[in-house]
Amino acid sequence: MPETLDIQKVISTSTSNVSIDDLTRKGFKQVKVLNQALITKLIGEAVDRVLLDRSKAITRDERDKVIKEARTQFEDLAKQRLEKERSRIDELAAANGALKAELETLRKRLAATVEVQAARDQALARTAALETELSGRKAELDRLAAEAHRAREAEKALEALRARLEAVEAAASHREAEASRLRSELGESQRHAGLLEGQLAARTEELEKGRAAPASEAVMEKLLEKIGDKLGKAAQPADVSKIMLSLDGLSRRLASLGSGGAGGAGAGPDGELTAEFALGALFDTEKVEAVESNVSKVKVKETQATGVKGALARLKKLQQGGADGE
Amino acid sequence: MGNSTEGSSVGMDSPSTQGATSTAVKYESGRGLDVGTANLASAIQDGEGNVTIKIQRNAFIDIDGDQYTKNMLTKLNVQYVAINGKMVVVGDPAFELANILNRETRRPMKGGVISPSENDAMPIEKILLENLLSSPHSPNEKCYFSVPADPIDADFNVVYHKGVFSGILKKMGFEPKPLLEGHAVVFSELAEDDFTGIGISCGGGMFNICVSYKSIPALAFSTARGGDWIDRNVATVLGIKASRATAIKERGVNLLNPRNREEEAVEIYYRNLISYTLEAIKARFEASTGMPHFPEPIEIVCSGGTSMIGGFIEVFQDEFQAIKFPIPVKSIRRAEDPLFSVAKGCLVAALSDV
Repeated sequence: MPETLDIQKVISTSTSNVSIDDLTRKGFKQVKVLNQALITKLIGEAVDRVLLDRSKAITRDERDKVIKEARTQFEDLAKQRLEKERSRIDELAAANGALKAELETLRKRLAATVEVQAARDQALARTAALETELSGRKAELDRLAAEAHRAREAEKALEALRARLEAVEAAASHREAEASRLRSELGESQRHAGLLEGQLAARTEELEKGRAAPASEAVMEKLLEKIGDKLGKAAQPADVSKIMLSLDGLSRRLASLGSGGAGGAGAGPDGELTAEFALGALFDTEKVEAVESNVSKVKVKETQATGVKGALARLKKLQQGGADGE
Repeated sequence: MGNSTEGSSVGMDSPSTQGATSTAVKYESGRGLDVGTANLASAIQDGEGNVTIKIQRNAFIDIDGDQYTKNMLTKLNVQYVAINGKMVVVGDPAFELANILNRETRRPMKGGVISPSENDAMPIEKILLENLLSSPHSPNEKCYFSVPADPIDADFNVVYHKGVFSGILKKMGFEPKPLLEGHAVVFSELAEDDFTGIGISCGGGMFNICVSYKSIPALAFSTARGGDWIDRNVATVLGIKASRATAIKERGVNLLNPRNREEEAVEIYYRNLISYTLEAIKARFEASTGMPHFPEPIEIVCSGGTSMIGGFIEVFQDEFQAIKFPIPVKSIRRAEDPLFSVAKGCLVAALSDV
């Protein structure tokens, strides 16, 4: 196949570039400029003209030869172009495949993101719920702490009362001992008074009998005074009664603390009693301040459902040991 | 539970007909009580076998009120409670008010159990229960009440919750008997299969699952996601209150054909919740060593308010197909009375325990 003439390449290789400055230095003031495209066009026209002239002169064989060569060249060119296009189609198909794979990857990532988002939402909801629960627990903790504080205070008060009771008991014991001692002294004094009365009676008798001197009366007065003092001291046991009354009062207060107040019940040693009390209070709406409702006055939504007789009969049969159909 | 074949009948006036001696209704001894996060429902059977359900929404909302308001509320058949100087509207009207006022309702229960953050929860629960159950018909009448199973995805147990409701019922004069929520569904819905199968209670706070063989629970657990989880997430993405999201959910959405952005959000979170629950069930089954061998394929029954939305069972079946379930299942269906299924199951347990 004859080589194709690349006119542009020929012009490019057979010409040289000269700068404007060089031309000026060489004395050229004006140059004629031929456009490369124009040269190509002129050459093309010249060739066409020659071919036209020659075609008039060539023989049928030469013309067939030219046509054959032209066809061969055209087919080659077409083949090359086809190959090129096929190659381009393959490239595009490969690129398309890559894009599809990328799209699938992106879809999977999107699905995963949606799942992660749902999980995150769930986690957030759970966190919020936990926070709410935590807040509730904190409030409950605060309430329990306040209750514990109140219980401690009640325990302290109880301890103080116990100490006071012990002191009172000690004082009572001391007073009792004192009263016993005084009783003993009183007995002694009474015995002594009896003796003195005996002596007095004897003296009086002696006085009446013997008309004794006036100085003896003064001695008697002193003696009677002394007896009066002893008898006065013997009245002290009345204080013991007061102590006993005080003890009764204290006992009543302790008893009321043990049975009535929430602090007393909460601080009690019986965990079950405490729990029962707390559970009772929990459901006792009557104890909630001012509960008012019209719920019982308003008719609630009521409907008939399909019966359960069949299911009930079958269940009872099964419970009795017979399966369906037995 | 006992083996008597006949329930003992107690001649008592219906709470709603007390005083009307000519229409006195004889009721069987034994009550069923569904203690749900969203609703409280009681069930009782009369001598003719008719089952009466009383239902209350388990919610309340604070309002400012005076004597005039109280009178008006009574005339409008709206329940209120004035407690410690605060006035609250309870039940369904609380929910409606919340939507009108664009506020959130307060909930005595959260996540299936008594809410630790609501100080007024217990007195209000007691008042609501007194209204639902009234007095026992006989001393120590048995009242089976639903309790959730321990959750597998949350760190709490139901001991305190169970104790609180036992205490309230005992104080009302009943003999309280706790019953697992999923087990109640089995009692109510799987009689035809000899109480063998899987009962799922799709509640507001949790999903409760019970695998039962011949009425004996072989495996029971709960997941801490329910209708409230959907409401919270829908509310977050739409920038609305959770009560509003609940209203959107309950106004008749069909999961197979969401009509707008709000319903699309509901559908997305429902599908996610169902998928999550099924995966949890599967994982729990695979991890359990004491699972019974079922000779025949079993049935799965879904109950509860969360299962009532349009297309729920279809989406459930759809998601079920996507996992390899370890037990052969013959069908998945919705309970006959989804909202009352647990209360009815508790009633069956109570009536059989004489």
